[in-house]
Amino acid sequence: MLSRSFHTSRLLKNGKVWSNFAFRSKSLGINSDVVKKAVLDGMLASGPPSIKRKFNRTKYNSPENIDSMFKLSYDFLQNKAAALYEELEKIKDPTLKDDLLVKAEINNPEVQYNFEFHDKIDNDPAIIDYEQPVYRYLGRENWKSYRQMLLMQRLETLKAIPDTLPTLEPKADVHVKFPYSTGINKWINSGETLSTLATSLPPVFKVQEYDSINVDKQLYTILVVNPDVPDLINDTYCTCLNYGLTNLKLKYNDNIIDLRNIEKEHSIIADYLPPVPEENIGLQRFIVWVFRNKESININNLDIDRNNFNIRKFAKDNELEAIGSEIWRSEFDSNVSKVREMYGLPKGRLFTKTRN
Amino acid sequence: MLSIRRSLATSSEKAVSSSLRAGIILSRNPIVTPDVTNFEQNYYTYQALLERRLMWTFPHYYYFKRGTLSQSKFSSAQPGPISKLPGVWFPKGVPDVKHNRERRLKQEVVLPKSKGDVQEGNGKSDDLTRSIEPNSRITEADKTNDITSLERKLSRTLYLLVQNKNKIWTFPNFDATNTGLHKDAEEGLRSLGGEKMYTWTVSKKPLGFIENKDGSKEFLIKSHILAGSFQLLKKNEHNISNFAWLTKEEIKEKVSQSYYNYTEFMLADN
Amino acid sequence: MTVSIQVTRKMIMQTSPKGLYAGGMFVRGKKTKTKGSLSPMTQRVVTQLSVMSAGRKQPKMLKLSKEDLVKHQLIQKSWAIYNADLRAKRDADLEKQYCSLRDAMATLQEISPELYKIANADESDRKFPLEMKVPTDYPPNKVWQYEFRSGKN
Repeated sequence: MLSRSFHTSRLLKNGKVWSNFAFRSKSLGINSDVVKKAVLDGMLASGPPSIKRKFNRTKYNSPENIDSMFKLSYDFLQNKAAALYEELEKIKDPTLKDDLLVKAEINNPEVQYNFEFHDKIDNDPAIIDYEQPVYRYLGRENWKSYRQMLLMQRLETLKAIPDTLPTLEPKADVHVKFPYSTGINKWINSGETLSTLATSLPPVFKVQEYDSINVDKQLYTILVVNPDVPDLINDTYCTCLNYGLTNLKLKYNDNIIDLRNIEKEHSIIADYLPPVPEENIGLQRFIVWVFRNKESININNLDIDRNNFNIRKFAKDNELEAIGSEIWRSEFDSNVSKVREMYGLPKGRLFTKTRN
Repeated sequence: MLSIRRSLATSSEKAVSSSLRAGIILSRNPIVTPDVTNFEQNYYTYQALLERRLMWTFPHYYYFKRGTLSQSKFSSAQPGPISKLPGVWFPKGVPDVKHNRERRLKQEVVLPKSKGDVQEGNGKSDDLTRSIEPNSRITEADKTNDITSLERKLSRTLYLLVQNKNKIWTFPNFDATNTGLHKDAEEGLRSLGGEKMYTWTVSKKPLGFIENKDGSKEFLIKSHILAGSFQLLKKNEHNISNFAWLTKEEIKEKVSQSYYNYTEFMLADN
Repeated sequence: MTVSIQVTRKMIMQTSPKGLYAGGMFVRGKKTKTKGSLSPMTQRVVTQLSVMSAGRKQPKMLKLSKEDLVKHQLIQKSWAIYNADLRAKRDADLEKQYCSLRDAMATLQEISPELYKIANADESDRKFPLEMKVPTDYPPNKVWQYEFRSGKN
C-alpha cells in the first residue's frame, strides 16, 4: 500500500480517482466490464446484466431519472475522494493513512457493489481484497452486525466465558469447518451441536483479521479446549486440551489454517483429540480460542498436561492475547465407539443417575 | 426606548472616544426562496418520480360518481394502461392492471381540460382553470445590473456598502457618541441615506468589531431594512460618494481581504 | 296474451306496491337496488373506507437490480453528505458569530463601560416587526415597499 501511493498527485490532476487504477488496487473496481458499464454509464438497453434470465432482464424497469442523478452524485463524491487522496500525500502516520483510505473509498459504488454481492468469508482477493483498508472496514462492520453478536451471545449463554477464559474482546472473525467426507462442508454456526463422526478428523480454521497489523511478523496460537470432562475424584470437571497449534502465520486473504499448510514440527502443541463424550454425560462444549502471540513459542519447552489443562495459566505464561473464539458442542451418539477405535482410545465410561 | 432618548437628549452628546466607531450591517432579506442547484433539482425529481412509482392508485371512484358526466370526462382524459389479452405476448411482462392503473409503473393522473384552457389568452379573471403565470424571479434591476436597487437578486441577502472619497468600500460607520452604539448607527444611517427608510435593528449588542489600521475600533450593529429605500444624500458629512446593495460574493470582490475576513461569517450565504 | 289484456286498473294498483302505474300511463320506476345488496348510505361508507385502505390500490413491490440498488444507495449517501456539509458550514458560522459577539462585548466593556451598559440593557420586551416577510417561490406584484407609514412621525 505504502509503495503504491507515491506520485499520486500527478495522476490525480483530473480528479477522477475512482476510475484510476494506476495507483489503486484492481479490487477497488468491478471485475465484469458489462456490470461496470451498467453501473457507471447508465443502464444497458438489454437490462441489468446481474439478472440471469433474459426474460426477466427485458421485463425489468429501472427507476426513472436514476442514471442522471447517479452521475451527479458520483461526481460529487468522487471530488470529495480526490480531496482525501490529496490529503493522503501529506500524512505519514499509517493508522491515519488507513482511516483516510477508508474514507476515500467507502462511497465508491464499485467497492460497495463488490462487497455487497460477493462472498465475504471465502473471498476472492480479486474482488474483495482484505489487504485494502476499505474492505477490512466493511468486513468488520459486516461481522459486527451479526456474527460477532451471535458469538458473544453463545459464549455467554453457554458459559464458555468465564469457564475457560475470563472474558473476550473480539477482534478477529474465527470460522471452523470439518471438510472431510465424514465432516460437514460448511463453516459451522457458533454453538452448533455436531455429530462425533463429523468432528472425527481435525478441523480447518479461518481467522480473518480486520485490524491493521504487521502480517509478516504477527504469530497466532489456536487452542481447542473441552471444559466438561468429569473429574469424579474431586467431584468436579476439568478442562481437556483437544487441539493446540502455535506459531501460525496469517495473511489478510490467505488465512485458512489446515494441517497440510503448517510447519508441523514448530507448531503442534497437542495433536487432535476428537470429541468422544461418554454416555449420559450430556452436551460437552468445545471452545476454539485464537490468540495473538507476543513472540514465537518454543514448543519443546512447554510442559502440558492435556487432560488437566489450565488455559488461563497457559495464556498468561506465554503472554497470549485472546482475539477471537468459536464454539461447538458434542453429545454421545452411535459413532463414538467408532471414533474411539480410530484413535485407539479406551472404552468410555457409562454414567448413571446414581453413583456407584 | 422613548424614555432613554428623552433623558439623553438633554445631556450633551459628546464623542466618547475618537477611537470608537459604530458600524451598521444593513441587510435586505431574500424575497424569494433560494435558487435550487442542479444537484438538488435532480435529486428532487428523482425522489418525486420514485414516490410516484410507489404511490397508491388514485381512487377515482371516490371523486367521480359512476355514470356522471364528470366521470366520463375524467376517464376519457386518462391515458389508460395496456390491459391483458389472451394469446398476446408482452415482452415487458404481463400487465397487472387494477383500478385502471398498471401496478408496476407510476400512474399519470390527468385532469380533463375545460374549454377555457384550450383557448389562449381569454384573460377571464373569474375563470378558475386559467393557467397561472408567476412573476419572474429575475427583475429589471438584475437585467440592468443596477447595484443600488433593492429589487436585485431577490433570492439573496443583500448588504448595504458605501464608498468613501478614497474609493474604499466599507459598511457604513459613524463616530460613536455616548447615546449607545445602536443609536449612533441608526442615526448615522439616516444622516447618510435620508429618513425614508424603515429599519429594524436586531439588538443593541454589537455583532463584532473590526480593528482599523488607525487603531480605531469599529463595532458592528446588525439591522434589517423592511421598507423604504436608502437614498444617498449628495451633501453628507461622512464623505460618502457611492453606495451599493451587494451579496456576499460581491462584497468579497469590493472590500480588502482583511476586512472580508473580519466580517465574512456575519454574512449569509444565500 | 289474452289474460294481460283483461288486466284492469284496479288489479295493477293491488299488485304493484311501488306504484308502477301513475296518471294513466306506465313509467319506469327509479332503480332502488344498488350494487350488491347495500343501502346507499352503507355503500357510501364502504367507498369512503376503501379510499383509506390499501386494498387493490397498492403498487407492485419495487425490486431493484443489484446495479440499481448500488446506484440508489450512492444517491442517498451523496444527498446525506451534501446536507451534512451545509449543516457543518452553518454550525461553524454560528459558532464564529457567537464568539465574535462575546469578544465584541468584552472589548466594549473594557473601552467604554457606559456604552457597554447601554448595549447590555435588557431587551426581552422587544417585538419582532410584522413587516418582515417569509420568502416565497415567486416575487409579489409589488416587489419592494418604497412607501411606508412611519410609526415615529
